[in-house]
Amino acid sequence: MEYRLPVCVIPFAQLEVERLLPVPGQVLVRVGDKVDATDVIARALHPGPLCAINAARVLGVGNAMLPKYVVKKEGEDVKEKEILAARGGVLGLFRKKCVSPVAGTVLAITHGRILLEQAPLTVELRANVRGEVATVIPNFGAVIRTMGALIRGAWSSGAEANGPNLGFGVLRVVVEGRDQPLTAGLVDVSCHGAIVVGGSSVEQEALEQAKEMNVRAIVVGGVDAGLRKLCRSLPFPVVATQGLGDLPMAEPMFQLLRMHQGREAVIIQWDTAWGKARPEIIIPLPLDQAWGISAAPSLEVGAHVHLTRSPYAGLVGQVMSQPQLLRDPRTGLQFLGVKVLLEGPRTEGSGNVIAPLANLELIP
Amino acid sequence: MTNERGSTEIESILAVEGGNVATRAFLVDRVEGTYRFVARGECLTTLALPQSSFEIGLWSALQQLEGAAGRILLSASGASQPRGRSLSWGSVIMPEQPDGHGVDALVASTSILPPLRVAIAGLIRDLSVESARRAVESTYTVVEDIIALNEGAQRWGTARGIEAKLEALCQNPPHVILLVGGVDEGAYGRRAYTPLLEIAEMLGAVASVLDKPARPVVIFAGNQSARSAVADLLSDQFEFRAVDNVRPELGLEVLTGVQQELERLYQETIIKQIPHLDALVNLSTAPLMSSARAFELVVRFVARQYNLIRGVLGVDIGGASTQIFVAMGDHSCGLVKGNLGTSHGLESLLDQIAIEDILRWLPFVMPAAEARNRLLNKWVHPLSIPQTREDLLLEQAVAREAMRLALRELRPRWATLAESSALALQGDGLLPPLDLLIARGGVLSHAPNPGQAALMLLDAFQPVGLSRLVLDQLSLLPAIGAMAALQPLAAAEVLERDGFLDLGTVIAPTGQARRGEIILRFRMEYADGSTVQVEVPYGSLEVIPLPLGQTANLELRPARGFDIGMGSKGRGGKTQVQGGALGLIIDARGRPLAFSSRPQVQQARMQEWLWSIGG
Repeated sequence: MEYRLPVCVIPFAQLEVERLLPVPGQVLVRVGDKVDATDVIARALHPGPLCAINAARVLGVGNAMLPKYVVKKEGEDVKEKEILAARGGVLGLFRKKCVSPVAGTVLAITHGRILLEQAPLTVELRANVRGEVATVIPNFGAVIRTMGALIRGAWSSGAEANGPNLGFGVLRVVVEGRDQPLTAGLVDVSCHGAIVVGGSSVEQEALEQAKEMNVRAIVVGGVDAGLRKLCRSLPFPVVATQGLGDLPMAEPMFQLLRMHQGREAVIIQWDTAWGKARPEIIIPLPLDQAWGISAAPSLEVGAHVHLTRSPYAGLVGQVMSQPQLLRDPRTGLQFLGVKVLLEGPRTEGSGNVIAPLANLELIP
Repeated sequence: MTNERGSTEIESILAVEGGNVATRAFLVDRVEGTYRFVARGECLTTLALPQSSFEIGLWSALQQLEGAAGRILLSASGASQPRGRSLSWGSVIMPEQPDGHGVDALVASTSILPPLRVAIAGLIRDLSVESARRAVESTYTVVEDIIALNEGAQRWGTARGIEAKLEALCQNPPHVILLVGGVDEGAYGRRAYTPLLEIAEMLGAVASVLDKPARPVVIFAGNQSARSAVADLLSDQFEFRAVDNVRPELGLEVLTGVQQELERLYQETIIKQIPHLDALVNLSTAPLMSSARAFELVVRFVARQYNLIRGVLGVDIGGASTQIFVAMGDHSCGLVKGNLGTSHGLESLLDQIAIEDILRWLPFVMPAAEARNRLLNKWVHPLSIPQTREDLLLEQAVAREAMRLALRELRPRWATLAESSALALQGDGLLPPLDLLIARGGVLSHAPNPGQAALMLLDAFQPVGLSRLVLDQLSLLPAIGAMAALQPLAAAEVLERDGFLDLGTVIAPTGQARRGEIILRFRMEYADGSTVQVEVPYGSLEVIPLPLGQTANLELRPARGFDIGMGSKGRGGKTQVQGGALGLIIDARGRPLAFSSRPQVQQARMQEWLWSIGG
């Protein structure tokens, strides 16, 4: 069986983007509909936070007795501090009261408790890509087919999962080279509403500045592991194409993003079986442009690959051999791998290296 | 079942293990009347992109096995085969044909995550809840929340501890809620009845908010006299299962009921969650078994079969989980940390371990921030292989600390076990002398040489006295455990002959001395009559060659104040030792291992140990 490596860059191909509501709702499109990025394709009411009150305990009654004292019924709206249940008292005095700590709706009165649901939020799911509806997923959304470019990253802060319309904006490359860090000075008012593209890393101050400037996303080669918590707290996704640390973005990815500067793009997250996010940057492109559709690459001599682990992380090369059992003299480890001729300037060595298949991704 | 050769016996078995990093297939067959491991195939597990299908990696591993065994096991799709078991591309030929094609049976085990998410609800944290937690950690689980009625809200107050937990259960329901509390009889048992019903009522409130498919499974393992009342409250609203009380008496813990139920649930849940895993289930002659359960069976069997009264410690350090299990005769205990591993489980592991504890195992300088970045890049690319010596040794350092963490978490249970088996942990946290240490996991079996694997184990567990180290180099043990349910003889014979790579015998004296001081003298006589006399200085790590399959007679004379497990300090004696890939390992570095406060000194020592053991 042919060994298939993941593909990390696709300059131009037919792509399918799955857009889903976080909760069941109403899908507003049908198969075949043409959509623009800002079109709302589905809508839902996202349940508000829950609040559970042990009303029976507050009133000093048994669980089974609570319904006798409840003044608000299931489905009724309540205001903050409004009485939910009350018991006893003389002339209005010494009455035991259970009041609502929040505004919301009575969801259930059960087992001595009153469950309130705070105001639900209306969630509107936008297409985020221009294309055609290929499949409708009942109650949740649709798969939108588009033509464009794709870059598959290594790590994402996951914010795009927190809101169905996050991670969408116009590409803006603010660095000169793939190995230039994204600093605070490079994030200015022109980045408002943009997917900001940096080089090798992002500084903490730049992340904070990006929040001030209301960017839609940040894409860099590497994110320092110590910044993960900050990244996860931001209201926009931060994507590392190579991984964690100071890692120059792979040349094909950087060139593709720079080529398409000014175009709309969207970041989507793939959940793996282990719960981690693998981000993808999709850039829809018009059909009438000169890009040829990329052939599906396969692992063979002459194929171009991207290497994922140090000391070659982010480098690109050409496969020079068939997969075979190799032993790395630096580590002594044996693995199924190939010989690769690295491309681009090098500080040392001939550029002929060996790499495990597990450390490679294909580039068309 | 009668196979095509007219025999009712199972002669050949195909065993498959689906792991988080690799999918493996093994062929076991009868060779000259004895079951033997014949060949294996292995492929990276193909759950991630671009394949996103478990079946692809499985088929690839099976094809590799065919090639390695030189035997046709599979038939292409479309070919007619009697009672074949099908995948998308074809079938596994079953039973074995007269021409030798196919196999008589197929067994399967898996450790694929994600783990079961479990919430524990009980009465008293230190009693029933703690027992529940121990039971839950027998398979691939993560304890998401603990609700203990004796904590948080006062009975008549307005503190919101319990209510806040209920809200969390509604917002993010786990797979399982384990409800425990109360012993079965007596005053304590009666007192638990009402609070148990109260918790059950609270859980009923959770059910009223959640749609049925989102509701967790509820396992009740508490006071048996409350069982029917709790069932009345909950069985209409949840999938409800009742098992034996985890604490039938105050001083007695019975975890098997919960463990077996969770094992069942794990299988049911992952089959639904992992795309195309049902292909493996459809192939299997016996029920799918978790690799944790299979490994536990092997360790128990070894302890009992070979009458290893001092005990067997088994460790499985995987990419996404770590399991540790100790068996002493009929007594055993263990745990599985479902979110702690050397690749997929790295981020969670780094949250539980100080980076400095990892760095002290390196023979070179590495800043903490750089180490963290490198390790998390392994987490980001979990199937990748280190290509620098620094990355390799860093991953091995993490493996040491993961095993140490698992051992620390096992200690409280070991203490309970020791009460019943008179085999106590030593006061300074050291292990008691053990007979055997069984280890498995990719970071160990794929180490460039057996010395590095042995050193990881010696550093992590610091065995004392005389013990043997064996390695599951072929990753065969879960397959053997799965086979045991179907054909115990095959499992036993393959285990004995092919299951382990014997690394060697370790002698680790305990005591204190100045570095360089001679603490042990011994004379070793080989089978051919040649002898070697060795003086062992304190602080050293030495390997004396003694090849696999050979034995030697040792005469040991420890210095006064040093114990080598022969009864007391200073007591020596004679013993016979078996050879191994390394031979005889004398670990005189001291117990517990002391780390120098000076980084350069520690790094130099680490390098010296690596050289000494052939790493």
